Amino acid sequence: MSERPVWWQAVEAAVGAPLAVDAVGGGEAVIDVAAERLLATVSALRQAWPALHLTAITGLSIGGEVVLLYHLLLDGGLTLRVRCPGAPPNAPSLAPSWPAANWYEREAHDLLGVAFKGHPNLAPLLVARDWTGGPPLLPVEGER
Amino acid sequence: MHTLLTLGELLLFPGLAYLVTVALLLAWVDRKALAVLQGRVGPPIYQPLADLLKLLGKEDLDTEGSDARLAALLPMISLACALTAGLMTPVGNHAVISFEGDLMVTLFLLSVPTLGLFLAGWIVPSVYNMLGGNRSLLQYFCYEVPLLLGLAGPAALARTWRLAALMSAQSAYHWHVLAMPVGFAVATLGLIGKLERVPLDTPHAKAEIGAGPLTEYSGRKLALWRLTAWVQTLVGINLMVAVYLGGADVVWPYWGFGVYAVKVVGYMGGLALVQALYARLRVDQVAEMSWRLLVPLGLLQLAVTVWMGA
Amino acid sequence: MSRVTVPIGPQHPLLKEPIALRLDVVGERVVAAEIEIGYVHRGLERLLQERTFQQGVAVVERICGICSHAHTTAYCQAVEALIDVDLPPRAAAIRTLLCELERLHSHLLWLGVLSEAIGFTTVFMYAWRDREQVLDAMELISGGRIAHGANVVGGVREDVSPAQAREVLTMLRQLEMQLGLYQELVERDRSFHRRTRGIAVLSAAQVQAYGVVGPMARASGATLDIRRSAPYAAYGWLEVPAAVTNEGDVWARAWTRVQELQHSIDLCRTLLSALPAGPLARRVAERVQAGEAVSRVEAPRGELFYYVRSEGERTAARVKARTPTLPALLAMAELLPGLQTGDIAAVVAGCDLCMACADR
Repeated sequence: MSERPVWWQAVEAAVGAPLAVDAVGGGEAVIDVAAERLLATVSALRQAWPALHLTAITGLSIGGEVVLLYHLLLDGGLTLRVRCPGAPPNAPSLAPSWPAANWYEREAHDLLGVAFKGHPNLAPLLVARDWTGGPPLLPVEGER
Repeated sequence: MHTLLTLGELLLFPGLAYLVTVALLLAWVDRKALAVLQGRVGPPIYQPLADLLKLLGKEDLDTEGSDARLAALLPMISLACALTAGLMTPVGNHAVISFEGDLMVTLFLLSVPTLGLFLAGWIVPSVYNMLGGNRSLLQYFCYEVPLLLGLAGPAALARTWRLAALMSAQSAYHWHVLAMPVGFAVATLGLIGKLERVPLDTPHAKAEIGAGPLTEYSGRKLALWRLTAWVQTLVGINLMVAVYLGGADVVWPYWGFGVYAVKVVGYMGGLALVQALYARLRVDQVAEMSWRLLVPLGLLQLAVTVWMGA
Repeated sequence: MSRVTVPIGPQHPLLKEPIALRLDVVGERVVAAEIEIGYVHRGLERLLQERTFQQGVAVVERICGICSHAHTTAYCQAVEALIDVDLPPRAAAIRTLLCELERLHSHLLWLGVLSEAIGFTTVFMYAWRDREQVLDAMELISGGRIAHGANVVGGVREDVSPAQAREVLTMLRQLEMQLGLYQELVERDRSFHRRTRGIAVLSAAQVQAYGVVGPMARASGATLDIRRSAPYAAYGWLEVPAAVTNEGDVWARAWTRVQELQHSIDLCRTLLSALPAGPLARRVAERVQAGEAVSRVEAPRGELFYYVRSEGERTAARVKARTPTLPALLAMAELLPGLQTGDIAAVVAGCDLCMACADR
């Protein structure tokens, strides 16, 4: 990226390390954020852009590891990529400070079993309450 | 012979059979007029009868936790009261029963179904029924008064509480509606509130509390409640036509019934027009409109009438 | 007064789709509200991992019965970004045309649902009658009233012939004549105002906190509109006006949508009067190289977001859809307490919920 986008400085200060930026199809940027720096990064961004919009949280499983993508929208789209270590995978919860994240985190908990630390209510959102088959998007032993 | 004639009047014309038939026809007029106003085709003429027969044939469920006998009794009492009220309102220029003060008795009999509806909602342990019943009762307290005030104006002017006398007091087109348009409007809104029609249909606002007090009712009981509402509508319109619109004008004595019928259908069309033009009021707005607007206007009308007449 | 719990849903006359609202009511006032969704969760995101990218179009089309075209548009856009194919101009224009027709029918449907909720059945009948014309026009173009099957990866499947364009223009003219009625309704009708003004006010801060999008956000002063901020398909050539107001109540949501009806009619006209020539679709390979892509589309209810990831196989590694109903539901849970029971219907209908979208 030849010209640095407007959010660069704020994010770099919050992340605390030089930024490595990936471009993603659709022309939006992706930056890696360590799980423990997520809350600080998001609050720095929200302070710099009061109209920051949380579009979605995508959870996906890549080679056995759960990755969360926080899709934000300021002037353009910006995605924060957070790797969730551990079994079950865990991540800090944005919901207490930013209610918009509440249901998206519940959904990631439903589909991938991510334990969000500090989330007010991780009850099942989409899957049935009596579902016992495990998170539907996690690869099952012996399949694929 | 005389007994037979009275029995015929009670059961056939203008009693039970006539009232039920006309109530069903009027329900059709209501639905058809609304449909035409809304750009729809509307139901065929026999639809209300078909609805009634179908409901009568459906399984009649008793709700667990409610008093089955009371639940069966309430619609019967309500229907009986509505029909009895129908005997007192003039059909054409003839009422089966007529005496001084029959206007008050008719009004009282008409309010029994509303109280019955409240009880019907109250005895069923369901929140929709309970909320609907509460709203029914609230509406009863709000709209009985304007209706009474609205009807008291003409009674004060004609110095009688007898429907037949009120009707003949308006001969030669001196309709009370021309003398007291405000009273007519107040009474009409009172009637709309009493009949729980849009915009005053909060007791059975479908989008909020389902069918309100009748949510858990089915089969014969629901059919009787439906019929009660239709008969109530007919009687209420009869009352308005007799008190405000000259009833069966005696100008053309042989055409009395036709004139009366046209007025009843016209009034029903008016109610359908109101239904097409307005959104439902909220519960607090219902009470506000009654006490802040209708009651003062009704009192004013009555005061002016009494003062002018004195 | 005693506190009772009024259950609204999963089956209730107010609701067109299953969702459970549990409202604690004291007298006629709501004191607490709890929302439960998931009744129509069909696991479609999982299913998409079992289908090829081309087959996926048919699956995402079935996520929603109202904004099906917006879903396929967003999905195709993401896959097109992955394989790096550019959309032929004619395909972009037809895609956009269907997007705007869909907005027309979705907004009319919403107006009908709201009117019915406040007991205004006449407007309900009129709005749905007019919506029927829009559906007819969409059927004329695509052969489907709800599931159009018009989008494919790399373009569109259905052409618009000059005769079809003329017919759609006639429909638009008729619809525009009806539009005066709805404008009058929101601007002047007192009966409508009594039930919608000042009810369930959503502040600009709440819009930001809950991530509310679309007409609901624009009724609260937010300007977010993907068609304007990040134009896709043919929106780059078009002038999309903003319909923004600050009231934030149910009335403002109606006003915003009625304005957008007029804007959509104008956009459709512009598109139909100058449809670019050229191919309808680019030929694309079935296999998609590894990578990930996002796409945002302004669906009738607001920003629709898709994320597609490919690991170089025949099927997608992950497809994620975020539909505009989810933040609307979150905000609604906040709006309900404090309301009168008589206003619940107007507020729930006014949030323009699409449970099939939310549950997927």
